[in-house]
Amino acid sequence: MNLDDAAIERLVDEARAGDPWAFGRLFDHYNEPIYRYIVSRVHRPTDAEDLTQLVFVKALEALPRYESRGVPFGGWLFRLARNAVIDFVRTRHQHTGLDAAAEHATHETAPDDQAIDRQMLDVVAAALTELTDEQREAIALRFFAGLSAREAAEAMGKQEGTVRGLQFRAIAALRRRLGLDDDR
Amino acid sequence: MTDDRQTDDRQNDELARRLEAYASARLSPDAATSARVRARVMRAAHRAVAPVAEVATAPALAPSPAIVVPIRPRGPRFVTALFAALLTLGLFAGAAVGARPGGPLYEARLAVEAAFLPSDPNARAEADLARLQARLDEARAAAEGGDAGAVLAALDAYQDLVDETASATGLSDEHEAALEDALGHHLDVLTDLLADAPDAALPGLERAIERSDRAVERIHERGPASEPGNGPPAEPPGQSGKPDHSPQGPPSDRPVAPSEDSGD
Repeated sequence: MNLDDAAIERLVDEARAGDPWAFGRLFDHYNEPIYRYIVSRVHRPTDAEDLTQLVFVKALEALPRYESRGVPFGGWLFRLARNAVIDFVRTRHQHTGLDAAAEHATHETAPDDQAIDRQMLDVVAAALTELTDEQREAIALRFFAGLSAREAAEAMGKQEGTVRGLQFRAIAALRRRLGLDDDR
Repeated sequence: MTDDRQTDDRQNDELARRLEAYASARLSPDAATSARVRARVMRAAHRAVAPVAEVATAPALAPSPAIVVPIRPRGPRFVTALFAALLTLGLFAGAAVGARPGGPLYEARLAVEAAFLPSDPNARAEADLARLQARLDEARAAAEGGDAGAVLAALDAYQDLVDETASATGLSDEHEAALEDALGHHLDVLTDLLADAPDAALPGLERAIERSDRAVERIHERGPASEPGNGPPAEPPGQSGKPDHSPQGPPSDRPVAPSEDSGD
C-alpha cells in the first residue's frame, strides 16, 4: 500500500481520534518495513514478531501524545522500534552476530530465496556483518525499511547529514565487499 | 568523469538491487506472521476504543461448551433461551449422527440451525454469536485432532456466518458493542489457532482472521463507538479507503544508493 505523506497524516489524526480502522491502515503501511528493520537487528523471526507487535501497541498508546511538528510519523514510529530493539538487546543480552543470522537464514526458506541466487544472498549477509553497527542501522532504515534520510535521522536521533555520511561509507564498504568496484 | 559517474550509478543500482533482494528474501515477514501480528494489534486498537465493552464481555474468552452468549440480554430472554436449548439439542443430535465439520451431514446440520433462528434482530444477533462460537469450538477441536479438512469446513462456515452477522441491522447499541467485542475475542481464538492448526488449514485460518477483522471494523464503523469524535473514516469502506489486509510492501520512497558525491 502506498500512502503519501498527506494520507498518512490524515490517518494519524483519525487514529488519534480513536478510529481503529485508521490505525489498521497505518499498520498495513508500516508493518513490513518495521518488521524488516527489527529482524535485521535481532535476527530471530520469533523475536522480531513479538517486537513488531510491541512497537505497534506502544505506538497505539503513545499516539495521543504524538505531535507532528515537522517530525515525520515514520521517523517517530521507527524511533519507537529502535528503542524497543535497544531495550530488547539490553535486557536479553542478545548477541546479534553471525550465529543468529545463520539460524535465520537456515530456518527461513522464503519462496523468493529459492528463486534468487542463495549464494549471492549469503554474500550480502556476510558483507553486512562487516559494517559498523551504525552503518548497518543506516542501511537497514534506508534500504530495508525504505525510510527517507530525514525519517532515518529522526529514528536514529541524528542529523540528516550524519545519516547520509553513515550511508555513504556503508555503501562504499558494501560495494568493495561485493566486488562491485571491480567494474571500474 | 561522466563515464565514472555512470559506472557509479550502475554499481549503486546493482547494490540497491542486491540489498532489496536480500531484504525481500530474508527479512520480509510471511503472510502468517503479518496476520498474527495484525490481529493482535487490531485487538489492542479495538480495546483502546471500547474498554467498557471489554469488561462486560470478558467471559467470552473462556473455552465454552456449546453456547457462549457474551451479550448482556436486554431483549426477549425467552427467545434466547429457547434458541439456546434448540441449538444445544441440535449440536447433540448432530454429534450423534456424526455431522462433524467436513462430514456428509455437516451442511444439513448448519441448515437446521439456520432454520430455527429468531426473527428479533437482537435475539438473532445472540443466536448468531452462539453459532459462531460453535464453529470456533469445532475448528479448535479439529485442529487439536490434526484434521485439516474439518478445520477448513468449520472455518468456511464461520466466515459465511461472520459476514452475515456483521451485516445485521436494527441492533441495540448494547448489542452492537457486545457483538464487536465478541468478534474481537474471536480474533484472539483464531490467532491462537495458527499455532496448533495443521499446515493445510493455515490459508483458511488466515482468511477467517481477515474476515473476522473486517467484520469487527464494519461493526465498529456503524456502531455506538461511531460517535462524534470517533466518527467514521473520511473515505468510506469499499472505495479507496477500504482496508487492505494483504501483506503490504514498504513505503514507495525507497532510497536509491547515492553516488559518491552525494555523501556529506
